Amino acid sequence: MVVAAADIGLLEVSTPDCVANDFDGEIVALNLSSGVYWSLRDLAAALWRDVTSGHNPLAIADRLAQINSELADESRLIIANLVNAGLLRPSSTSPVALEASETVARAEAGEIAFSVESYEDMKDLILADPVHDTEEHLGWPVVRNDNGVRA
Amino acid sequence: MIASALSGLARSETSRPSAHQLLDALGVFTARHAKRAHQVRVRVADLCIRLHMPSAVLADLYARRLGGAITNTGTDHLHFHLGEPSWAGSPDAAAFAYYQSLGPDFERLAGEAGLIGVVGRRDASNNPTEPCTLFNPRTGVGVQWVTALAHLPPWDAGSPFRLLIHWATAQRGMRMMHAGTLVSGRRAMLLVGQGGSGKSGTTLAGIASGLQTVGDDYVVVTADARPRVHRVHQLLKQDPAGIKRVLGPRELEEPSALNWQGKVEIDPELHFKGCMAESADVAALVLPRIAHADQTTFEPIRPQDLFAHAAASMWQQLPGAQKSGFVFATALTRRVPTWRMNLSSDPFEIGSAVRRFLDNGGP
Repeated sequence: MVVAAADIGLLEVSTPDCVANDFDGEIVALNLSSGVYWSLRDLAAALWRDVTSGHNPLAIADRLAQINSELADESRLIIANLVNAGLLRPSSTSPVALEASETVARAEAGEIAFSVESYEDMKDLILADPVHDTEEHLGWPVVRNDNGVRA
Repeated sequence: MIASALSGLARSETSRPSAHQLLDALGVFTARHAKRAHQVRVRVADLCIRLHMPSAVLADLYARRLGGAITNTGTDHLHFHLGEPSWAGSPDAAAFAYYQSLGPDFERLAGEAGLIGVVGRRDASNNPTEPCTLFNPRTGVGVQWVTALAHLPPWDAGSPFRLLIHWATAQRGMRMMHAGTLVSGRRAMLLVGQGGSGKSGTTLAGIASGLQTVGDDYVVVTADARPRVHRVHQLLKQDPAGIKRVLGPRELEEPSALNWQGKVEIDPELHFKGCMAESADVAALVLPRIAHADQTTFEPIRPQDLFAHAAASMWQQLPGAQKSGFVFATALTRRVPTWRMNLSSDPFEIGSAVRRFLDNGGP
């Protein structure tokens, strides 16, 4: 059943089907049943961290609407997609967020990019980032092609 | 002297070596070192590696533990150097001391130079945890710099050049994993799980029963449609009780000192001739469990559950390439059948059960 954004309350990671990790700010999440990888960066990664630490996504969207209505719409859409992809599910508990929303803080500071990509073949992710871990590391110019490695 | 430089050198911001100078130091060191070092070639995961070593003894030891020296002509894909910077005069003592003092920031500096690197940190006992290790992915040249060879960490000779092999294989879309292996014919079982779960004991039980292995510590796995596992090191590590359990009253031909983990390190070919395989198809991912059962049994386990139990051994343990390692490990658990193996207490029964499993394609 496809979940509409308006129906979503508190959320949690859909373990064990979903495995996710934070790589220096980028969230890489996978539904092991479907095999589809998701890469979340910028505000999308902040949104993941917020909702998996007890923030209500609807409350975040309401706050974002006060900054920019498009940001609010985008956050609702991303959350609905993550739930429908089996990465997040309604929380079985009632977690209480201890920190202020990172998404709202970054949006208030002027960020506007929700970067979301999905990959059906893990090679696409591996080849895009074969060795180095973080975006902030400069000078890692090696990208693998099908014939080997090129600089 | 490097030792005095290490003991409290504080460079001003303006005199600190830049990323460009680090790249230059790597180039000067490897050029000078290549002229003086003892060279030997080995093959790992179909890659030819030329080792540049500070002595003939170390060259022979590291080559043997990387599967033995090869003599065929052909292209060297990688050049790995182990040495003291003072021997080649680059980097100079002050710059090397600076690199060693950087800790996690050394990786950032290396990244700015287009390199990947880690520097040894001190553990609670003030022992170095890793040599200063640097790899240039564009040239395939890597170094392990040590202030003195005596400062090599105690595990280095047990798994030579593990970080450089890890980075070089990750660069090529492969993955070095901490896993045991058993092989029958062309089919391999990859044993994953936390330390103490029975990986090494199962490997030793298997080869004592006539199976082959490609290693019980670090192995390289490819991302092919049918993943393959390759030998990295030719050395098994087992605690003395495990050795006794498998070998019984039979004595090791060359009793070995215990390594830093309190384990015995043995060259499996010395005791089980022909037991080392170079590579094999990965037919199953197996999570062993010491069950002290009457018979060894296999039960299917969901990839999700195997991943949750084996994440550390499959991708978290080695520094660098963490994101690709996470993706690789998750993909492997989806691509290869996943099983739990409940171990009996009889090593030879375990070996027979594994052979049946591999030969039949399942339990």
